[in-house]
Amino acid sequence: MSESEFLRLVKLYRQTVFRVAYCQLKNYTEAEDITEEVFLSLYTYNGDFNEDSHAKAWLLRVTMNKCRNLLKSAYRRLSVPFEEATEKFVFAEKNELLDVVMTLKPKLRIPLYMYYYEEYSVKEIAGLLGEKETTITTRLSRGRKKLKELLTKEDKNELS
Amino acid sequence: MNYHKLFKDAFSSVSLQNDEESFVKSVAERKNTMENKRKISVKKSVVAICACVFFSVGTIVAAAESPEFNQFIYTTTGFVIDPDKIVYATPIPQYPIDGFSSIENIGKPIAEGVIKQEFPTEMYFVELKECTENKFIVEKIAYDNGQTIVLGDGFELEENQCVKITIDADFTAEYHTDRNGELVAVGYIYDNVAYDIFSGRTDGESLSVDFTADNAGKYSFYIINCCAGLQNYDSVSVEITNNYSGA
Repeated sequence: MSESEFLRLVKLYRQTVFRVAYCQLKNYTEAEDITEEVFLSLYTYNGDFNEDSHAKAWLLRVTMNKCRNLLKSAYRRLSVPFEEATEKFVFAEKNELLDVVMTLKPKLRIPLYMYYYEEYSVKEIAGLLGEKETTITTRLSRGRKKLKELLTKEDKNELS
Repeated sequence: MNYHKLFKDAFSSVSLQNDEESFVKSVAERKNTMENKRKISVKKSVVAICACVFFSVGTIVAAAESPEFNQFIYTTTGFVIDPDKIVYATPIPQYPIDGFSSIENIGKPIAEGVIKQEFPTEMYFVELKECTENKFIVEKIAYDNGQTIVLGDGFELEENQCVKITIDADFTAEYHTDRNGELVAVGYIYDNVAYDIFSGRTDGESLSVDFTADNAGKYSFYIINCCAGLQNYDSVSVEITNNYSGA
């Protein structure tokens, strides 16, 4: 891949890759690390992309795989990242909506994020996550229900 | 509820805080570190292979001359080679997903024998808790091939009363190679006789089975793991969908 093409894709998609990694890992440092690794894979990738959407799908697929490998690694299973243990978020603004969304289980959170934020279709999400379309539909429906419950609970807590 | 707006608002603050230039610099540094590591590991591998060849040749020659040569040789790759050169794969150990409980630890053995599926099965009684009105659930359980879970201690149903049994499986364990579904049987026990309602594959990670009671009386519901390995379920629920008068 040429350097100019690489820099163009970095500019276009580094935040997207980071958000997907953060959505899966719930940890700033690890998500940043994965983002760098994904773009390193892109740098060493020999193929060409016909369209930017193909490059994006490739980047997201690599991100999901790298996150999955990290979550499966003995290191990650045997240790709790500092940010998770202390519930310390490093983003400048305190975002309560994000806190609520991040309490969902990853298997519900990721399809919801892909569908509503990245605006992928159910078929595309199924392809990216290597799952069946029916599984994604079920997870979206369960995720919406759970999110609604959490937000209602949050509203009640605020009122009381 | 506008979920598009909700997600845009929630993730608006999630962003990498370094600029593009330092990001590209970090990627380049990572690339250099990786290449250096690769050079070092190639050198180490060459040295290790030379050492192994040197020692292994001596060991194999010594073993071949030994009267104990016929004993099994355990290789480091997890295979067992017998003297007739038949290779057996060592089974991959299967454990419940972290946080999931095996039914042997949370259930009570109630019977062992043959139930509908015509293969031996161990039956375990597992308690359910009422999560919403008329919906009873057990969460994060794992059970092995041939095991049967009897869900709760029975439900008093009226004639034509409907029940929905829902399984929410979890395929995230690495030994779940078949992501198209797992083989299960779902059924009920009435008057000490077991009847299958469903026998087949889950649809991805989900399965919902509906049942209508033909007669009034006490019904127990069961699920059987009919696949070759361990299955993990996020939840199994029994929901009485109309006219429930209590267990």
